[in-house]
Amino acid sequence: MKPLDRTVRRLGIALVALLAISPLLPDWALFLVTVSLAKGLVALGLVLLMRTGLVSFGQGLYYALGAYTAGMAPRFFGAQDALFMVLAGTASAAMVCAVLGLLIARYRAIFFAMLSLAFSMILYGLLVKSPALGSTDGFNAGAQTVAGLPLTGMVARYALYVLALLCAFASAALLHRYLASHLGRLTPAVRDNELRVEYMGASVRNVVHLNLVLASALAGAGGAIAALAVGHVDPETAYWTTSGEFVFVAILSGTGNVAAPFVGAVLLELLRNFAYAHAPNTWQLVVGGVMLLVILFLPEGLWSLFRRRRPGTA
Amino acid sequence: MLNVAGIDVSIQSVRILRDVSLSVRKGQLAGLIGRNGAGKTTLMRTIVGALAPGRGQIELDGRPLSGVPSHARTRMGIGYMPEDRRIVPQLTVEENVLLPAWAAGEDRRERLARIYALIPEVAALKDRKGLQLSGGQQKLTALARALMCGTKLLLLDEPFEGVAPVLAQRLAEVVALLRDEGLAVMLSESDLSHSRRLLDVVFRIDRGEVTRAAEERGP
Amino acid sequence: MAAILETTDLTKTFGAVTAAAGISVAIGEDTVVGLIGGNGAGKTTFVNLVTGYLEPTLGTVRFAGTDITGLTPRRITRMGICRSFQIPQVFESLSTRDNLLVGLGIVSLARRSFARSTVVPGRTPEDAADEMLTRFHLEKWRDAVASVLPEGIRKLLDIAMALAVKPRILLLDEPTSGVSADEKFELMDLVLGAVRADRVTVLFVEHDMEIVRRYTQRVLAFYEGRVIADGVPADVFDHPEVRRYVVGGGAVVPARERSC
Repeated sequence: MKPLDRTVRRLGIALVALLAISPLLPDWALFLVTVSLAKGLVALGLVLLMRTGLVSFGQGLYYALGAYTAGMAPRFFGAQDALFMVLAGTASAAMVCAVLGLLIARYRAIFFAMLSLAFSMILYGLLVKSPALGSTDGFNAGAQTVAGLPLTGMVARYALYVLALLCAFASAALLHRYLASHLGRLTPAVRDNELRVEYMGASVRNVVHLNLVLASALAGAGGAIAALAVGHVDPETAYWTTSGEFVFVAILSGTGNVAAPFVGAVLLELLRNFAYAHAPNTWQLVVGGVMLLVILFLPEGLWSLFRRRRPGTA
Repeated sequence: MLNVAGIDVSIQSVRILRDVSLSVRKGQLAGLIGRNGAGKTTLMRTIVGALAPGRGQIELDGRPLSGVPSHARTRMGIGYMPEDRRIVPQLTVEENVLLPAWAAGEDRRERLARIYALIPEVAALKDRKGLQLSGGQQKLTALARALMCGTKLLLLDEPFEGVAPVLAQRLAEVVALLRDEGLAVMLSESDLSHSRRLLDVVFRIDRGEVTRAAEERGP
Repeated sequence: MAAILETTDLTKTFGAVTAAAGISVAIGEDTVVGLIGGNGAGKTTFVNLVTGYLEPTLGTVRFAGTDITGLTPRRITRMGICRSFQIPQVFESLSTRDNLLVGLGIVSLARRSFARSTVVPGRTPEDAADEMLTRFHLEKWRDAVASVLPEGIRKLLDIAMALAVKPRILLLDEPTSGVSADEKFELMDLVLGAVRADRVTVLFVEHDMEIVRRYTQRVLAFYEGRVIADGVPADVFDHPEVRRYVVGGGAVVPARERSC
């Protein structure tokens, strides 16, 4: 059994710390962190795609699939358990991507971006047109139990927070291990030189397809958790601006580390709340301004503040 | 014509060139000889303006080049042939060669005819698209393009590398002819075999430092 | 001796341009063959056709008796034919060691689909990578990112990556171009030394005739997509058409002047 590497250890420490301080946090803070982590999951998937050399403007598709699956679980599966809902949301997103990926994995750059956008907007259109799903109003979502425990009292206060934390930790740690493996090393290789990868006997399309499915699963999980935390599901989750927000988080945090998207998501939520509280009519200006500053001065994302520069040889 | 005085150049805080000084007169063919990684390409890119020196001066025909952007340096008469050719794949050979003329808004068809006369191999390819060219053919096109701009100074980065011996000899003759007509030429190579007989002066570059070997030219 | 590589009437046209015109050659196992020719003569096209990068307009390619015409580079690599590139194709953002590990990792993941394998059971890809670093004198560049490597080292890395698979046929496209004179021999000695023990057939495209003369047992000279001469180096260099279109002038191939 390999010893836990530095990143996984640090993630573990962060997990324990966040769990430990939770009794001290007010409700709004727990909620903010939960929703941020859910969005961070989507951004983590985007970071994986960016490391493969692709930018998706349509992760909202899977985010919405995760949210709607979780919300419809009582109706379609007779299920009331939050853990089941998250798993179902993850699975439904991944299954749809497994099929769509057969087409999308053939494209790159602007064509890839446009295709991903297109599919998410197709779902948006379908959701808006379905009165059974509440069309633009959506419907309320919620769970009664989590992993068997009834969602009341103390459990209710912490359950989703803990669930979000565990999902974030597990995703970050597993993705880190994946990227460090032989299969995972093909991800930056594909981004750098697809021709060479083929000439070494590996299939570029298979690597891209796999990463698309992994990113979609993360987005589905994030969508399900966010839906349960907010208590509501609506088609906006599939809209292109939602997808754009995830891209923004990925750029803000940078692709340097698996923990970065979560930090970026929390910071963005804090920034947005702060801007809205202090400049309710111009908060978008504030957020846009910050984005501009980050791109100008920290083009590799906030995480580059922590990274030491990699030396070449003399 | 070209005067480089005491320049330092770093890339990503790694010092590539140290206190480099050299000069090439009109009608002189200079060789910049050194191993890979010694700094030949870096020096040429600095003269052309793709990199800025940390200190020191570069002058062309008496005019200082600091602050002058790359495209303006080209219009001043510097022709540059990069080691990796950089041919535009969607354009034909003729279009690639004429690119500098279009950029300058000048009609240089006479010059084109002259270039075709000097290097008939390029004339034979003129309607071929860039992406259909072999590596060596791209090199020829890059050379022709450099000749389009190079009215005063020619910078050729490894012009004979990747080129069949027959053609390398021909190119060496072309370069010598241009030198005889008054152009200042500097070419870089990792060894002297192709150009020994032609060079008027040899600069050796090693780990970013340049020393001038004795004047070489001989019949 | 059965041919390990055999092309029959191999032809490739791009509209009006004929890059390869009916090339028929049979290459035996365990030989080193030089491919020479002027620019645009068809040498790289030949390599591209054999390795599956291009699909022939006409003709076939057989590898150890099996028809591989039209197969993808991925399949052909797994069957045991590898190549290096005129402009080194490496993974710019990865370290030298990681570049090697990409190939070695692929082999260890899909071992059964690869004809031979550098990674034998019991030896990890990491060990194989370290051993290759040592064998190719790349230890000092081990952790350097590929984008900072000098040209000669990148060329060497490109070739080393092609060897991760332990091919039966290795095709090198201008292995010494861009490499300084005093490093050329070292590179060729290193590469050929690394493959000789495994009886690998090596074909390399070269413009440096001294390298060709010194390392090959057979030379194919190309001109306008055809093979105009085929034989031992001395004979091919003396061939009148080869003199005219490739090596030049009446004199024998000039002796190398080394820079010091």
